[in-house]
Amino acid sequence: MSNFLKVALFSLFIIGIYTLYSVKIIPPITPEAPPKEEASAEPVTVEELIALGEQVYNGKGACALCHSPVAGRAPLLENAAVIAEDRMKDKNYKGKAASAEEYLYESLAEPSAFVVPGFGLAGTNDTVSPMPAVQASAIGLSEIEIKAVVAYLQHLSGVEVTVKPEGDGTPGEVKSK
Amino acid sequence: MESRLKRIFFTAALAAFPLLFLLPDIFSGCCAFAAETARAFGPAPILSPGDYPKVTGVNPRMFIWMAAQMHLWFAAFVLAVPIFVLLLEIAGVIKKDKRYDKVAYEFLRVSLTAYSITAITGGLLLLGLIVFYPDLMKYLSGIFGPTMLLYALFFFVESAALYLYYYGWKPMSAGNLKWAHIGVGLILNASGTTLMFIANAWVTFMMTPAGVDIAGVFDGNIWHAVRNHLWGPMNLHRFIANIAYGGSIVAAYAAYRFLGAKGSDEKAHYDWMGYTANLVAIGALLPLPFAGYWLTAEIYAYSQQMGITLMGGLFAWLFIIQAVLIGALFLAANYYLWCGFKRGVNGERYYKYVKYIAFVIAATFLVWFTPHTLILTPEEASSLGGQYHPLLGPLGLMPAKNIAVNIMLLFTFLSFLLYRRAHRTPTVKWARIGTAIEAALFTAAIANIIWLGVYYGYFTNSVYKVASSVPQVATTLFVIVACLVIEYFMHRKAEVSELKWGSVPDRSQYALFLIAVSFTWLMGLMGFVRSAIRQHWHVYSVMRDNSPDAFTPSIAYAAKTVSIGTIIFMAIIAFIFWLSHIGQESGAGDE
Amino acid sequence: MKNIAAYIIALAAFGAFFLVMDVFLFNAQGLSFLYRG
Repeated sequence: MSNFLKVALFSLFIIGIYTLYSVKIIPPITPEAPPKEEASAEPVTVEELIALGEQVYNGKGACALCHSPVAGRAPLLENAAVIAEDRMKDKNYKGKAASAEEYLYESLAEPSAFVVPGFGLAGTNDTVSPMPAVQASAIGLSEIEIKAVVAYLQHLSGVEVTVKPEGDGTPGEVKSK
Repeated sequence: MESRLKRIFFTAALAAFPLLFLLPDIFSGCCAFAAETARAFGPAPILSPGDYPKVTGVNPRMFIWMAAQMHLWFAAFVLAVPIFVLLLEIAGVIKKDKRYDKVAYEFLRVSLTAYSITAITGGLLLLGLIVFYPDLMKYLSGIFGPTMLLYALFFFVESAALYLYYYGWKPMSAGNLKWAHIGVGLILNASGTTLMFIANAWVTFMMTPAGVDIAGVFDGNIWHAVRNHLWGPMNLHRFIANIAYGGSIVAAYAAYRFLGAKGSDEKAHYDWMGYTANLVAIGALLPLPFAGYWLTAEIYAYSQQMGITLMGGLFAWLFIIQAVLIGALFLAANYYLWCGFKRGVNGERYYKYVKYIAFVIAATFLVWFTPHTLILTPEEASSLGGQYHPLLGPLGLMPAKNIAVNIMLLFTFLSFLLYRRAHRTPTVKWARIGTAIEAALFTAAIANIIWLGVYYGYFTNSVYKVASSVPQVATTLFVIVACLVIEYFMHRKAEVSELKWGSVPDRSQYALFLIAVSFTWLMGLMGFVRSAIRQHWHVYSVMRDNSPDAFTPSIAYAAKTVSIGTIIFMAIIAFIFWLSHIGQESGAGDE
Repeated sequence: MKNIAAYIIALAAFGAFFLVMDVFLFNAQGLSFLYRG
């Protein structure tokens, strides 16, 4: 067999192995389709708000990417609405929230307002959060979506959901910039 | 000495002279443009599927993907080769050895045709982008316009330098003209690198935009857009990776010529060429992880989400595939070195170590491609008690992989040390103590690497886990540098016997083919990641991709595409090498 | 014999060197060497 043929067959064999490995051996992962940009129907009831919150949490917000036990790089959120009370009482808390609901909203809109100890960006001594502000384009949550996530977190923690579907601001004046 | 200094200044001046004239114009031109167009820039356009032109029978994304990937492969090759050629030419002048000059000229000739194909594929890419993504191009050229003109200018400079460098090789081969020729080589490399840096700005802007606000409105300052988070890391990574890649392609060329060589002189020539090119390739491979680390760190700094999608989310499995390829590269590199022991008169005494090194390399390779999350059906998962294997699960995590790769590097370096000793016998009295010291260094290093990985990786938190990779890598680097220093002193006045070039078995050359093919495929895969990390954005978070093909393809799809691309590329490369071969044989060349 | 002695001494020396290097590199990243919860 000519050298050219031998080398060509060898190269094809190697390429074949890599292809086979990538196609058959590793788990077939099909990425999600790009998110649709049309506005979802405005939630009218608290249940719809919670449902939207859950949808955003698992979809557009990609919250579990960091806030999960596997990732380990952000506080776990199953009890967030309850722990919120303790966070606000922390001596380092300098944010403006006056209620657990406001605290949750502030954590989404201004993550660096308070950084849970141990989760700050390396070298900033827990003053700067690695979490992006959720209204910024990379995540791009709208006002109603942020409120929906807060409602969902309250629901997850088993506390009463205090977020109201109507109105343009959260109760209390914790507005994002 | 004085006349040599004179030549150096003469050459440097010749090279710097035109640039000195051009630079102020270039910079003031850019600033003038920036100042003048403090005119209103609009926001990034919001597109709908109908805004993307269609051509029957052509998949727009596939067209761009293939054109871009071909261009990158050929561009990497034609940027790398002039670096080797220049260094070899200088080495030939300093050592007064004509062999370096001859092989440098041969390398250059091989890359000439590749140069045109680089330009052709670049043209295809540009035309494809204009045809299929006109709105994106309008937006990008609104921001980067002056740099695109600069690109055209430097392309002209590079072409002129390349042709002068090649055709002037024989006429400019003596005395001061030789140094002028080297100056031309410098200009060739400088302009080629500049071209890459300019294009890198465009592509990194699309990933980590800067100089624009949330709506995509440009602030008017080109430097802001150019110096985005990824520009520096991309420049460094591509510069080093090009050298590694170019070396591997040249080595494959030499390997092929070796297989077909007639006569021991020809065999020796191509064996030497293959070894040298491969040394460059693997040598340049070693710092690449750092460049990759910086790249990923900047991605994280720009957007945590993007970083996590890259490493922990959607593309995590892709990096397992990358691990498989890098492992294959190291296996091949080691195998090539072991075959090379035969070239040394004392080579046979090191054969007995090969099995131990092979065992370690294989073991670390296996660790490296052990996944963390397993592919399980729900029943399997519940009987296993989770998504991870109870025993092997921890091997899937980063600490284990850091340990594995550092040890793989250390043992590859060990193969290299033994290879060097295969034809050198030290005569210094402290040789055996020196070897004992090196052995102690290896032991301490391996213990340190393992301890750092196990303790900080599994018993602390994620901040420490990541941080521990720095001393691990420092340990590996220290061993490499320290051993090279010790070896240098140990082998002063050593008995060095000539290497028996050409006396390696044919199968050793297949290691070089494996390296070239793997490098190519790996580049294709990483190119896919770079682009796919943008997901459904043209310019991440600024300009949404609303084309029908905006979906991120699966890894399987990407793998098949990369494979097809690799096959096409290898076919063209084979054709180019054949062209240069027949050119040489018929006497049209000048060997 | 001399070789084994050289090996052991060098092992201790390099071990100490790596320890110092590790401490330095952890501190340079804003971390203390020993993890404290």
